[in-house]
Amino acid sequence: MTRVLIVGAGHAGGRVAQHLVEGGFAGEIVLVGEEVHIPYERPALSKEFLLGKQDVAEFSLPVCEASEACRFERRVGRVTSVDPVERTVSTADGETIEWDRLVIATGADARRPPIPGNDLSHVHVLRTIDDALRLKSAITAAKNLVIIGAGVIGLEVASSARGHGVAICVIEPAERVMARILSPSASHWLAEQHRAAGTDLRLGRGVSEIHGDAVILDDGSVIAADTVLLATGAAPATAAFASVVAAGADGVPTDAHCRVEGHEHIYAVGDVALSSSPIYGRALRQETWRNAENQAQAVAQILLGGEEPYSELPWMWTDQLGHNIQVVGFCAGDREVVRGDPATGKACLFQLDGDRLVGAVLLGEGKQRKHVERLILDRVPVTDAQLGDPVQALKALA
Amino acid sequence: MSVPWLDLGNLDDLMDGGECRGVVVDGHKLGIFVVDEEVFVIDDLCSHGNALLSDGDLDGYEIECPLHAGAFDVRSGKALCKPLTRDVRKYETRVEGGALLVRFERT
Repeated sequence: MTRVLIVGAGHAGGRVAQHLVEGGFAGEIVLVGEEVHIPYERPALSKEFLLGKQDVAEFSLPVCEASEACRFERRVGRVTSVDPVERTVSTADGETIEWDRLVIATGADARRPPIPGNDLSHVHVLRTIDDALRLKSAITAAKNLVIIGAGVIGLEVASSARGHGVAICVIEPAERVMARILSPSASHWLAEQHRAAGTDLRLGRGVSEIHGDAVILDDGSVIAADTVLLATGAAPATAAFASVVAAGADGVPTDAHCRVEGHEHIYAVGDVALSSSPIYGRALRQETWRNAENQAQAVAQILLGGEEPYSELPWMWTDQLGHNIQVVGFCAGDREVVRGDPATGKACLFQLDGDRLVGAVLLGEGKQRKHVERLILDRVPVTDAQLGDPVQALKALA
Repeated sequence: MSVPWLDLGNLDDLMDGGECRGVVVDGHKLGIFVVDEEVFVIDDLCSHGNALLSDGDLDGYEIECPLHAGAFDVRSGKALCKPLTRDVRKYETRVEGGALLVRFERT
């Protein structure tokens, strides 16, 4: 009986198991993860769940059940190493688990920058349900919340914490917010929204020390803080895979079929996977909901004998201060063309490289996502005038 | 007693040349969708997030939510893809003398 061992029981790992069972996989599936919760999707943790508007059941995956052809087992545990020759993994409990096919789905862990005081009890990170529960209860009682990092998680938490009677300060070493994802003008627009909502946003500032009741910035200023969130990004969880991944790699490198380079029976999926992209001709590590969802399906299909490579245009959304912001592709390109007026909360910020669209930031314009994706993927030649004119339907251009 | 027909008004006036329109009846949001001159009414509030489907993109019988890209079939209210896990309600419709009637119980 073939055994697929999935290490990591988050959104991606859970979906691989589910798709294998639904796809009629004949064999045994073992899903090992560190969390006691059944696999779940993470977007709500910084938003609806933190606000108490959704409970765990609403974003948990359906419970995976064995079928006649397929045995399924979920274990709670931490895998510490892999032996790719003997085809086993070892766990922190001293257990050895054998496998025929290994799927690495360990996701990413919150980064904890080496700031003195980063281990104090009022310092939080946010990756898991348990993190979110702790943070929620801290925010409820907090007077001064300091968020270190103005990325997606930091700004979503700043948005969610509003209305709880807490003063919010966001500190970001970069000169603009969500700099990894947004174009400069979109960053500027979003920063204005947060400032208008009352957030004390400090850009271009680092934190030199965290104390029990305050955070000390690199310019010496002291900011009162009874609750601190480290929202400084996530690092791929590769510690257990030193035997198959070169040191220093940003994730687990795979080919376009999600196979780990040099190991034809080992796959990687989700946030941890650094997968060769047929669209871009280079490796991408996508920390998005859609990547977890769709790459898991792709890997399950490949394990079931499918031949299709995995190909996904980057797409993410964030909901902040009543605005829905979506980013398709990359804010690379040589210029930006704006359709609509960001001041109204509805606009498309197109990123062009020559006469091709390479990305877009959609402010309250999610309905355009499909058309934007078509324009990018089909490499449709476009002009600034066409994109900038709201009368020209994108649907017609695509 | 069967659910009565509620008159939402003249269909052409409601749609004004568009294919999606949201209306509010007693605080309940209804989405009206026209595909090839056929009219469908489903709940306008997406079952996943706090978004109006009538603000979304209609492609054939598929309406895509503008927030998180979940899609529903306007003929049945059925959720067609992730991240949706729940369908939305579908309402019976008919057009009489240009007026759009929907089987909807007022509260």
